[in-house]
Amino acid sequence: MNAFRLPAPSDAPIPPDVARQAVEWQIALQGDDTTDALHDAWRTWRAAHPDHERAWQRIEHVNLALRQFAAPGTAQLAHATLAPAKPISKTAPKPAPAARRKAIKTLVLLLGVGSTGLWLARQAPSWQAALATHRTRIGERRELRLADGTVLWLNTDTAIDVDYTAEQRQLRLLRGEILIVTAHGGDTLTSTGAPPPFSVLTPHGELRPLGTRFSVRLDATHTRLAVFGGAVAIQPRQAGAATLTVTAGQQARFDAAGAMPPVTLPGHADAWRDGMLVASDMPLATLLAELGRHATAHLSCDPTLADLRISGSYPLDDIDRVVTTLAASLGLRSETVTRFWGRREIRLLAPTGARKL
Amino acid sequence: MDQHLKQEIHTLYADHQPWLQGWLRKKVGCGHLAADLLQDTFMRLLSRQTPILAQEPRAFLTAVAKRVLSNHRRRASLEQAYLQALASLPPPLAPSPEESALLLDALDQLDRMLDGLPPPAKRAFLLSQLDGLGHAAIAAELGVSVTTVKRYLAAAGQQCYFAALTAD
Repeated sequence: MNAFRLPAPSDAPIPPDVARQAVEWQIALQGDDTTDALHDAWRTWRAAHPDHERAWQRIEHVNLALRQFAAPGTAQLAHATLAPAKPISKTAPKPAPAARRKAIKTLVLLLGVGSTGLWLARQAPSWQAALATHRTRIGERRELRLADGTVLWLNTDTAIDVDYTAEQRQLRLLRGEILIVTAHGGDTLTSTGAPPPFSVLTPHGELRPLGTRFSVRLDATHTRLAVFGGAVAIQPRQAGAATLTVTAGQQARFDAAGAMPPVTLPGHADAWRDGMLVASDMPLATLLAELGRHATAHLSCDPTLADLRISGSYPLDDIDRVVTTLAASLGLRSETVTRFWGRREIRLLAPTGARKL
Repeated sequence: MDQHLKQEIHTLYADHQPWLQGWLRKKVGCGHLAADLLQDTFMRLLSRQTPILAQEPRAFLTAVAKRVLSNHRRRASLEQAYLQALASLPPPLAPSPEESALLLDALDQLDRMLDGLPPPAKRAFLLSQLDGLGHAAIAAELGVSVTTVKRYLAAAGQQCYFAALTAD
């Protein structure tokens, strides 16, 4: 194995403005909402001049070399060695390392959701716990039990920070979705004899539950709260934004500026905990977007099919098979394309000959 | 290698080696380390492509030795951070001693590629490239806006992809 080698600097210089454009393209393509038009424009740029292509190859070449650091353990070593985390977050200052390590000792990890359990145990997520950060990969789900008895389920592609101290019990949702069943206190009590206050932070605001079961999902522009039991208060981040209390059977979305009025929660909104997705009269495009959260491939459909209403229960463990089955049951064609970028795309299309459904 | 350059280095060594070793020993307070750094300083000269033509040999040697010294210190603090991080890894995840040496060298190289960037920019770049986090997730992790994250990634990408590695 050609272990841990980084490329030598390229000898032929690349014009600075081309280098700058190439970096801008890379950032745009990593964005949270890329479009086909963006990819087309990027390909046009690459083809426009040999220097463009050379600059792009340089980026790819270094990125490929960087991927060798991405293994579990190695990435953590790289972070800790090159750029130790500092308490720079404005919303949730992290405790000093010593306090942090102490807080971590109070964490207990419960592993083993379905068949991924063994893999997880071997890959030792206890190191992730050592940074009080828990992550799931795309398609992975996990259950955690915290020191105070609070139980968490992490949905696909999720990252959270757990900060438990004598003064507060705080979860920070960095991406993805969590389901929380809160408990009261555990062993730690504040000086007043009450358990430390519990809260969930997202970039859009803070949630304070009142003894309850709820899920929090972070999307690009807003946070979604769904309450299954008890009640949860939303405090959007911006000063002066009104607090909203959401009760059992309701869901609400909010961003930093404010919360939308709560609406009725659809049934089985927490079915992902059991590895299922339950759709009831759901537009096909929405269903594919939801399934796509659990798959590395990008799922889409022809725009003429987007509003097709679907009902059914779908297992989340083999999304490719679900899509194939879905296509067969609806009489649609599925087409798989591997993009230049390396990502697989599965598109559902109307059967040949039928222009419209 | 150029005969003229070889002769230049030979003269520098003959005339100034004891003096330079003394200068280094005062800086690091250890004779063995000073001898190693002296060795590194002349190794660095031997890798040159162009003649030295130093008007002020001692000023020239001090300038090269300072770079060697600062690289030594950077590497030492990197190693310390690495060993601390390694100590807190659970045994199944820890690399083998051979892997560890290779990894440390690669991290050293990556550290030089990122050298001089503000720490949050380094962190943003590593979160993006090593952890595959999206812009919004990095923004949340660092407690800054997505616009700032993009600025960090632009600065880090510019340097990491297109600035030549500084030779040491």
